[in-house]
Amino acid sequence: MASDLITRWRRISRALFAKAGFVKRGPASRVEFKFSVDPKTLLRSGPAISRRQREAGHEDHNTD
Amino acid sequence: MAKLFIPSRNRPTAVAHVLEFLARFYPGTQVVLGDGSADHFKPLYQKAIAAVSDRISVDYRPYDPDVSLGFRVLDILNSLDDDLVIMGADDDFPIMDTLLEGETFLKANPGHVLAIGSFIDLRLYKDHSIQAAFGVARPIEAQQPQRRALDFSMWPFPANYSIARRAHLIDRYDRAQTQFLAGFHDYTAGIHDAMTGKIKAIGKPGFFRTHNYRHSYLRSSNRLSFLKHGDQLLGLCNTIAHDLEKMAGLQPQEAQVLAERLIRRRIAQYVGGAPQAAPDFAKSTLFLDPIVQQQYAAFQGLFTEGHPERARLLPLLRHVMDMLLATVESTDNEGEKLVYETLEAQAHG
Repeated sequence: MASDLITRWRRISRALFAKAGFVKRGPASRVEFKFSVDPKTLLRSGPAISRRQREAGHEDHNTD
Repeated sequence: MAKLFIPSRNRPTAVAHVLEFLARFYPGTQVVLGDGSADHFKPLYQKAIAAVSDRISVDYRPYDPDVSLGFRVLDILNSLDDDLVIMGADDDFPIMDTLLEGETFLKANPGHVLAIGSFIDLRLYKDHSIQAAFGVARPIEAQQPQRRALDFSMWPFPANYSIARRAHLIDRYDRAQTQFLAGFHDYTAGIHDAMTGKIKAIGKPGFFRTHNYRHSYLRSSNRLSFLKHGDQLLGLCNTIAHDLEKMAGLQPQEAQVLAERLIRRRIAQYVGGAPQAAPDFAKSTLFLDPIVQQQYAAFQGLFTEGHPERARLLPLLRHVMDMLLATVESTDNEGEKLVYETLEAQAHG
């Protein structure tokens, strides 16, 4: 009985949070828009440059 | 083939690589080069042009360094008599086969204002690590202008690197003279493009775009700087509302409501709410669009051993990478700030 109530409350609270805009970010790993490239082989060499590196030097590429 | 227009300023090494790229892979290309460099750079431009003059034609138009980018672009666009023009840049490399496909399409389809391929963005960092990024270019082909504006806003992209109707480009850059707002320019120009006509997207890369830690860029200094220019942002909102009345036939109040919605959407994206960060984006109709899927597969394939797209574009990619590394060792960008927020600030250093 108690576990049913907890399950229901969790479901309701998740729905309320989603409605309020507090939703999880998307599964970034499934759509890989950026990654590192080996300058010699020109093959993918790893994940995207880290946020720390990016903030140290640059913002996202755009003509803006 | 339509002419490729390259506005440039103080980047002779980068331009030399772009011209050599065209001469090697697309001989016969006709280039119009609008150069607003400092005087000491101009002989380097002439040297770069001389090196390729047996393979491509370059119509060189030097300007005083104080002349703004907007003025140079408009002056040259007004001087041409072609219906279609490819807009390029001095550090970006057009894949001309894709743009030729766009040209053929636009000639047969007067309802389309531009044709565009996707982007392969290559960024060189200070430690000489390189990052590749995918840049989408989506089809925007609804019948109603207001529907196209909304479609574009869902997942916007810079529509300026494309082949487009010259008359529209003049209109676009004429607006930019007075309505340029860093962080919002590509978006509002894209809304304008989409309301003017349909956008044909091709399922292949259309440009390699490059970015390095030495070059100067026109962009906002931080993600909240648009707040300092709130009057300009509201002005852009009014322009969109005016366009919605004029081009889509909406009533003033309806146009204002929609324009505000479009601007709010861009603010949300700009400060962190990118569409691709949304839950289940991978399952969204935006991402599953067949053209987008082709573009995305081409991007992934280019960096994957044995993929046909890599076999097709690897020599071009090598040339672009060589340029990235050579440019940061050169005197390109000498005398420039790293960031300019307005066209006027850029013109006056």
